[in-house]
Amino acid sequence: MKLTVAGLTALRGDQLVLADLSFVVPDRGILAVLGPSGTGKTTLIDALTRQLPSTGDCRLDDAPIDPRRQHLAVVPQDYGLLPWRTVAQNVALPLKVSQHHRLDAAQHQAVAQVMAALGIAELAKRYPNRLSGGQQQRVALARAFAQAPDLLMLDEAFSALDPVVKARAYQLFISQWQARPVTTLLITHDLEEALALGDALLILHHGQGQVQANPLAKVPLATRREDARYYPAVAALRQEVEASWQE
Amino acid sequence: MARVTKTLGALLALNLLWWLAAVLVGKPVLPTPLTVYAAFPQLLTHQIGWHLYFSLYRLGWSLVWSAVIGIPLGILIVRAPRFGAWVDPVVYLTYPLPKIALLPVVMLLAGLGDSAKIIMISMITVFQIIISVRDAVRQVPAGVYKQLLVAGANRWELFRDATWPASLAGVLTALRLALGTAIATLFFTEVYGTSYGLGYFIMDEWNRLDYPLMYAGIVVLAAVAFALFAVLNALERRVLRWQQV
Repeated sequence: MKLTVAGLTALRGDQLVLADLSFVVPDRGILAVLGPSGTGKTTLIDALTRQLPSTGDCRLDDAPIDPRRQHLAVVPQDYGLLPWRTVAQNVALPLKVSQHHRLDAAQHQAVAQVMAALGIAELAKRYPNRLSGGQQQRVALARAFAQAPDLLMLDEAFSALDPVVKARAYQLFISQWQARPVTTLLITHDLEEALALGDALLILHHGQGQVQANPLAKVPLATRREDARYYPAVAALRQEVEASWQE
Repeated sequence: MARVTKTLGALLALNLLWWLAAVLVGKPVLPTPLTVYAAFPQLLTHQIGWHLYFSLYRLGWSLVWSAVIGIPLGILIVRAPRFGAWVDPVVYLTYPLPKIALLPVVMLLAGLGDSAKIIMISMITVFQIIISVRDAVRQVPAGVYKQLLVAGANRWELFRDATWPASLAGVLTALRLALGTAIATLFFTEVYGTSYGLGYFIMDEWNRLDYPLMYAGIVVLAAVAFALFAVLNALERRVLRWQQV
């Protein structure tokens, strides 16, 4: 589904965090939203999911975004797992909640497939406090993909992982995303991550920003970080971002 | 199995200490454990079953009322902030008051029967439940509610999947803490206005100078407390499996 955001303005308390922000993410596109802390990255997700009052027009295809009518998935930095539910129950939760009913056999099978693909099938009966950070992140990804969302939002979803686990998490995300392509907002402060996973980039500054193409957009996701142009592109983007944020 | 062995070991050690103290004191006021256990068959002819029944009846209803009042209040203080803004300061002000001092007032208003005893115990334990539930619900990570709302959860689902499991942890913690206080208050309230209850039985045997039977009553009361603690612990292990590391 195409995500269209037009004139989005949002306040946190008295502070204007998003100021007339507009952008479009094409169907099955990945927009990496970049910005340092406090630039409104999480506010953008809260406004889109109606957790925060805002003005502006946010649509998926032609319908206004509404968590009760569309399938939205958010993977936050702390993964947002319910501590009192097992891994399997956490993964199945959005499906169960969105249809206000128990899962049928086919849905149970879909949940099991996603868990197996992300390597967490054997953790199904564990509670989140018995999982490592990397395992929790995979559970959160499984929960997001299991519901086949219309819009996937990753809010610094990889930033708490150490480099080795993070590289594996990228691979798992890419394989899942390619198996079930979905319009995605990737919120991050990590330039390498934005270039590795995004089709396009949006550099947030004072609640505003313009979408620009990722110079590596034509390189396949799976091989992008090994491409010779990857690190030069990261360096160029770093200069651009630093110049933007110092204004 | 290790837990049972440790408990039995502690029980044996307590009895040894008791025996040593009895031998050192050497007075009828502190009989040895064997003298007390030998008096146990007499408990049956002294209607211990009825005393136990009335004590458990009062204790049970007190905890039920505490939960019925305390759980919704604890939840509402957090989940209905406008309501909480009024109630939370009242709880804060009244929690430290020594409510047992209100026993005469409660007896004047509710009479000398079971109602006064149940009200008195409930007045003390309800605060522990309110505060524990309130704190447990407050500690629910904001991300949990966010995930549910993003998935399109309605109010019932927010309660079922987030607020209730969190408050259950608070309830069980509070019940464990409140149980000791509740039993102490039960003993105190059974001294007046009744002819049944373990508190009455112990004080009655004290008045009759029948020390072995008085101690037998104390042992029964302690066993009741221990059994209730064991039930709560088992319940906690089952319901709060997610907290176990």
